[in-house]
Amino acid sequence: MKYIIYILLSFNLTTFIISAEETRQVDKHEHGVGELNIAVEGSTIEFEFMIPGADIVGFEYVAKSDDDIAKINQALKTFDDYTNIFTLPSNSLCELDSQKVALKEEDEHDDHDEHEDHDEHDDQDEHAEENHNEFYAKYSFECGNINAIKEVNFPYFATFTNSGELEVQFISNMGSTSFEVEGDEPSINTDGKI
Amino acid sequence: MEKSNLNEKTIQIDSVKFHWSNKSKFKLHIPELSVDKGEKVLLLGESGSGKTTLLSLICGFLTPLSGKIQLNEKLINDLSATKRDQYRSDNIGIIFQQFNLLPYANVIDNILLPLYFSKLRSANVSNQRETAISICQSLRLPEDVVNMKASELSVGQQQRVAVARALIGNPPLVIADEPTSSLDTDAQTIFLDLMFSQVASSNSTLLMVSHDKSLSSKFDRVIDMKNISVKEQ
Amino acid sequence: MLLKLTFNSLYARLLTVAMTVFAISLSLMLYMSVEKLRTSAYTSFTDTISQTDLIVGARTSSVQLLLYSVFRIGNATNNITWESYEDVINKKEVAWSVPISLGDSHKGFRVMGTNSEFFKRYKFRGGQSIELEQGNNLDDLYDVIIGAGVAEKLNYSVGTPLIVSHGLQSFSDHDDQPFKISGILAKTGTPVDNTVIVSLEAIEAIHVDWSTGAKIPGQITPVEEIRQMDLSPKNITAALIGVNSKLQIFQLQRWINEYPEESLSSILPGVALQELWRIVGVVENLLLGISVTVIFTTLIGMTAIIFSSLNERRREMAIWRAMGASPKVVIGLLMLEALIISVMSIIVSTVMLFLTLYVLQPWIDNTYGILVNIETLAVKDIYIFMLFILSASLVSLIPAIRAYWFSINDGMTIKI
Repeated sequence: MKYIIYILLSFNLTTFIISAEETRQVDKHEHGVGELNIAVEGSTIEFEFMIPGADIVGFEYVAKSDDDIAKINQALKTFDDYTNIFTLPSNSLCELDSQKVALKEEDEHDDHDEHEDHDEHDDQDEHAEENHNEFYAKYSFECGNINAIKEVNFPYFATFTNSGELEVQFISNMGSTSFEVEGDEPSINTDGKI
Repeated sequence: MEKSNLNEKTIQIDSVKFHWSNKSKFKLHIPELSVDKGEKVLLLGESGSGKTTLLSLICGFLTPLSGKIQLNEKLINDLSATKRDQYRSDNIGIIFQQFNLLPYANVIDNILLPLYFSKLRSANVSNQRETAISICQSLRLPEDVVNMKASELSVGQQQRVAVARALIGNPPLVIADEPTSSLDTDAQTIFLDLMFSQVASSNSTLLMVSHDKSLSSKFDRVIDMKNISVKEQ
Repeated sequence: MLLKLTFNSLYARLLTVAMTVFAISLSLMLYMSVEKLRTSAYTSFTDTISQTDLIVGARTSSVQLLLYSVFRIGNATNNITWESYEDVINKKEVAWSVPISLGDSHKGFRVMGTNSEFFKRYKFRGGQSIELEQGNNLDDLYDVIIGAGVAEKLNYSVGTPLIVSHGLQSFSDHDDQPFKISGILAKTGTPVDNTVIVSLEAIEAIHVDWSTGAKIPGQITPVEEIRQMDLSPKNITAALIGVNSKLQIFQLQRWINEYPEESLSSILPGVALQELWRIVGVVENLLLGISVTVIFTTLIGMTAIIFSSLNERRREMAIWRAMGASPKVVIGLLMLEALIISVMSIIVSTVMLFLTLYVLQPWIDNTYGILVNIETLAVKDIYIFMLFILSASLVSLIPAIRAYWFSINDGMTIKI
């Protein structure tokens, strides 16, 4: 296996690897790139979205005007129904077990996640100096036939017109993998990965 | 060599005009030409006299600009291209000057080829292989020839196979375009005799094109291109 | 009848046709072998490490962490302290962990310090374990286990003494503390084959007289004394981690990445492998592009051959027409010819591919660690075949349409 990498080295691509990587790190909060983690264990599948505010409501500053607050409330409501965001094949017999939808700020710690639902944005004014808003949503399903999840579709891209790309990290007993999903092909193929 | 009915026309041409394009100098105008059923007609003409064009019109490769071409009392010049192709395969056996056969196919396949395209003609042949062999025999082709590749035959043999192919399934009309030009005089005579007897036994009409007047005596009628076509500017 | 005659016709031009078929087969085979190698390389590549949920190291890019921890390429910029490592593995989500310490080498092969968990937990090719081919585990402080590749290239066997060099390209050896080979691992096709494995304590031991990368002048602690010392590791380079439930991975990953005491990175191996592969993909797409171009070239070659035969076959077309074949049949005949050529090429190329792979598979596995799967044709190959047949037919339309015009215009007048 090393040989492939040696080939790479000889192509002088490693610098490219590193630099490409660093750019990615810097651009972690890039507009247009949302993150999605999918984990499968037994009959449970969990979806965890972390999406920059700009991709959802078109801005990332703290909402102060009534208009902006309304937009955020509207968006949180949209997240409340996961079928606006993604859909699972019906023959997988997945039932929503729990869900958590929140608006987060970049530096928030895990314990803030415990705040349920929409109250979150009320705290915004206290952190007025913070500039990045992030939508956080986590859905957990129990599935009767989890192997039937051969693909996941993302109405997300149609729901939110500002949305860009979704970087998906996926893990199951078959190992981990990643996808990049965009609006022109809003689905991932998980066949053989669960 | 009996003629069944003198009034029945195999070919009837009325005031046919043809030219390739408006610019071309060559123009063909045939006011009238008719060939009776069962007749053996020799069409004489110098090269460039329009013989081949006339044959192409009769065979339905070309359509006249005006006038009527009737074969077996059926008007063919307003048929669609596909129907003309079908009509040709059903009604006309064609023999060229030379290189009549698909060189890579064996003699039997070459002979049976028209039957593939014409249901009408294949209906006339009950046992295809046997019929092909018996025609070959009457054409005095050596027995072992039928399974040989066409390219392995002599020119004379090839022309006889071409006759067999033209006549299989008894088409009403056989058109031969200088079939003897590649043969020497002795072979010509043998070839013509064999062809005539086959044409007679299948009751077909024969229209043969040649520039060789010496063959005239063997035919029922001789038509000279000069006499049937009108020269135009 | 038509099919038989087309075969006759092709057979009559056997040499030209055979060469065309051979050329097309070669190009198809080239494409298929690139594709096979590509998918097999990808599988072998991703099979390098399996069942490890997270790899933890000092803050760095995921590809870099993967390269040095799994592929032993490049260097860690920093180590992580044992305390941080313990904090991580004490999290309730962690089921098992394997600490790894890198930095030294032996004759160009990397030396890796680890513990017995490594042999239990490191899996490759979908869950295979590493096994000892000869000898024993690391029982003594100065025992070393070498990978199959190291044994083969350096011609080592159990019992051979071995000196570890400091760093990767330095001239200073840890020659005061010689090791002895206690075991040789079976071949894995992974970088483990080219690794020299010692215990974490041994790594500490050989650095007793070293401080911040340099040997302390004049200090040579006797081996007997070292054996009595506390050699518990102070830091490690990376750790492989397994979690209790996959559902906890992302939470644990976030916790590690936000660990306040030390800058840590944690990566999902599969995700990092894929990132790396995307970069390798540049080369891979290049190869693929080349083979697709070759296929197109041979398609054009086939068309040229059909084209060049057209003039000499003009008479043949006239014969067909005289028999009553419509111009469409003439087109059909030429397309049928192209179809037969392409189907034969596909068959020949598949046979050649499997024969070649069958012969080369052991060599490829040994030399490059890529296990080429030769059992079946991929569904994708079938699609490619259909696509090829389709494009061959389409391309053959060009000479066919020319033949169509010939046959319409020629009629009775045939040029020879």
